Amino acid sequence: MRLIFTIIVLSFIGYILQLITGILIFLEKYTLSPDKITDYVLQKSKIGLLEIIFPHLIFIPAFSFVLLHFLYFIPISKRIIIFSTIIFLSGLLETLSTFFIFLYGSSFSYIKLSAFIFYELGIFTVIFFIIFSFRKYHRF
Amino acid sequence: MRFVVQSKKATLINVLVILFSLSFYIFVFSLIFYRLESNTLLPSQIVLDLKGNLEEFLEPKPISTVLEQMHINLFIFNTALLILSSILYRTFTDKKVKFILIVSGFFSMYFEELSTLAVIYLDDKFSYVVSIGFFVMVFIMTLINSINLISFLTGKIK
Repeated sequence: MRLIFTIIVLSFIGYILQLITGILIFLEKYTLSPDKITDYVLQKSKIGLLEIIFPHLIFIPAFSFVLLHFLYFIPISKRIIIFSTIIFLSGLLETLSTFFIFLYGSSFSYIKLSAFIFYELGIFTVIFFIIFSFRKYHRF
Repeated sequence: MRFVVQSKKATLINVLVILFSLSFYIFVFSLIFYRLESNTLLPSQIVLDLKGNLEEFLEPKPISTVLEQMHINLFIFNTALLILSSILYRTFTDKKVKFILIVSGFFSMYFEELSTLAVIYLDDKFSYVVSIGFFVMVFIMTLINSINLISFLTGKIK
């Protein structure tokens, strides 16, 4: 069990580094202003946007799945299942809203920004929750 | 009946692990080939790629591009190491060996990726850490993959 915990912690460190680079890229490209998010998206061509969106549509669900499936190994409540579902969907919404801004206008930039903030905070919360719960429920 | 189902499941896992392990060699080969072709394998090439050279009219790489590359690499290598480690856990390899391989694999990845930023902001010498980190990471990943493949082919698994 100690080796499993080591694997989980080491992979979480890698994923935290990946999240940090993701946040830096978001801040560099979009900033935290909905107007600038709209400007950035509208500058791009449809193909240019799809090149960003389509890999994220598999990477974000894959990442969310890998991370959230560790909850299987600890006792969880219904609230945690709902919270996990919302995190998963917010990641997906964050990616899709880029295309919705392009198609339907700037109001989706507020959704993109909120979904991004919720997703990042949610993922960090889940990472620490899993680590502390694993230590608590699996004594080694 | 239960035994038959369990046996079929075990066969399925064996087949999947063997297919994954064989695919992983192709991935490692393509990764090294990509680094060779893009001139980002040796320390001097890494510095040139990141910082450019005014005399040769080579522009430095924008920080956004470097971050995007790191973002993708961290996802790919971290997920690859997570899968390899999870399979290694099921083998009968000595616990200490498993621990050393897993920890050094992950740490070589952290060093390889984070040193890229250190080359830009701190010192060119960190390009040696990037290069060595890459070689160590690839070596360890290949070693774990080979242990996994041999263990599953010979049936030495938990």
